[in-house]
Amino acid sequence: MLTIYQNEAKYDLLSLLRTPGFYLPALLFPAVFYYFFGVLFPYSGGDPARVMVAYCCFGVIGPALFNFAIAVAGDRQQGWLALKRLSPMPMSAYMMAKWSSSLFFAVIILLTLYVIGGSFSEVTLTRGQWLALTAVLLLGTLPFALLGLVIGLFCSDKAAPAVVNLIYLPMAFLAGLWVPLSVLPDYVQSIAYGLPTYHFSQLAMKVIGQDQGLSMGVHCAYLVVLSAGLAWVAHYRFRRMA
Amino acid sequence: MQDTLIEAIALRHAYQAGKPVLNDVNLAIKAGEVVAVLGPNGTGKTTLIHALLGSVAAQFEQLTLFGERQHGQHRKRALQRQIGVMMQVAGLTANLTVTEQLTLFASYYGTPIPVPELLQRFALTELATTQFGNLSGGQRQRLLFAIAVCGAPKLVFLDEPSLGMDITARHLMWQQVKWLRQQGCGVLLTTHYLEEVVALADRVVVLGHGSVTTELSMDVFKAQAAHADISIEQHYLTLIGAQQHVDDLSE
Repeated sequence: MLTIYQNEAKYDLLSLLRTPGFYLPALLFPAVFYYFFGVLFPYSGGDPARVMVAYCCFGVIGPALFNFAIAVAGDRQQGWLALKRLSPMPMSAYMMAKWSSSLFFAVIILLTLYVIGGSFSEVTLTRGQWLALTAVLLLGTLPFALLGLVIGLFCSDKAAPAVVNLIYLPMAFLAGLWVPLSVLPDYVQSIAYGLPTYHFSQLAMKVIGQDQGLSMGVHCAYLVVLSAGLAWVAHYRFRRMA
Repeated sequence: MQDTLIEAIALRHAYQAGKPVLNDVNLAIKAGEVVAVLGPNGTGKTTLIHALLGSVAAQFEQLTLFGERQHGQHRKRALQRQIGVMMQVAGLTANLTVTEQLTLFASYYGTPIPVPELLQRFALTELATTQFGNLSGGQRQRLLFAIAVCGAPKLVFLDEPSLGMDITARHLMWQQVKWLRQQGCGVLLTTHYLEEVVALADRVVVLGHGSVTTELSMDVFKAQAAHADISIEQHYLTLIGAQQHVDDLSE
């Protein structure tokens, strides 16, 4: 059984590594974005560590959302997913493979942003903070992977990228990942409380002591409930799919 | 005596309420038997495969798979390991090679056929390092067929397997179906090519509007055509009630 999981993960990653159209934007976009707007022209202001963590949140969400939404929509539309469901492969192997590929790219994105932050923006964290931050940022991609999965199960392969972009960028902005929430109007802050990007970023900010003060339990509960809900929707959709 | 691999009694399915796609279909496949399911487009041939495999929520009075009663859509993994499937629309990850696709799929099974043997058996050796996206339609069909049998299954579902294949590839496919039968494998084959049916099938099941309208052994099917002094094709058109329509068009 372990071989199935290993092979699924290996070939999913191999397939992505042969798709520059996926990994180049996924890797370069957060790094370039952070370097220009977080380091060179940091008009949004704020503590350098807070800015770096915000861009890290933005960066790791991308591969989780895109890899699931676009790949699942494509596999579903081509009939590949149907063939896999008829095979003895557990669907959890397919999901784990997609998530592990997303994590692979997330790790590269984080390392790149850490290097930029440490070298050009004088971000200094303790070793414990770096490790805790990495763990929170990687684990926190799960709800976004599930969101991508749901999008992939409902949208066509042509619609999926547009739908992801439509929710990814506004969710990032409204959660204060580019501009601190404190400088945005009050109504934007009230919107932020309903967004997974906000609760995810607050958990990451808590590691560096830059969060808004809500308890960790609130953020975790929000993300766990959201993940459970999305997993249920995905399960329901799988059952209904012919 | 041949073992019954799968038996469905009163299989029903409707994608929309009141519009049944399958209507009380009875079907059984024995070990070493090739059953051809025929019928015009839209008569439920592909849905029949999905219903038997549990990928649509079909109703049935009884469904037995390898002697085990089935309930609902769930099929045990141990049973799935004994089944091979080739569906009409299956695309594969475009940038994995033929060898990688076979290696991946073979890893799902306990005792798969070795990949080099699959490559040789399906004339894919020269294409071993070619990515799926660069294969022609017929080559893709060959790979999908190889994937269907990579787990050394006891029961194989082939949904229009020779679609897009050239004559050489089609004959290669026929050889492999005959090889599967020799191994004691049961095969459900849907196709629109009657020469394929004549070459491979032991039994013919004709679907019309979701119901089995005719079920004959291949020998009886051929004998009926010979007795009426008509071709196999004309006999089939008569069975599905389309002969008059074809005659009208010819006139």
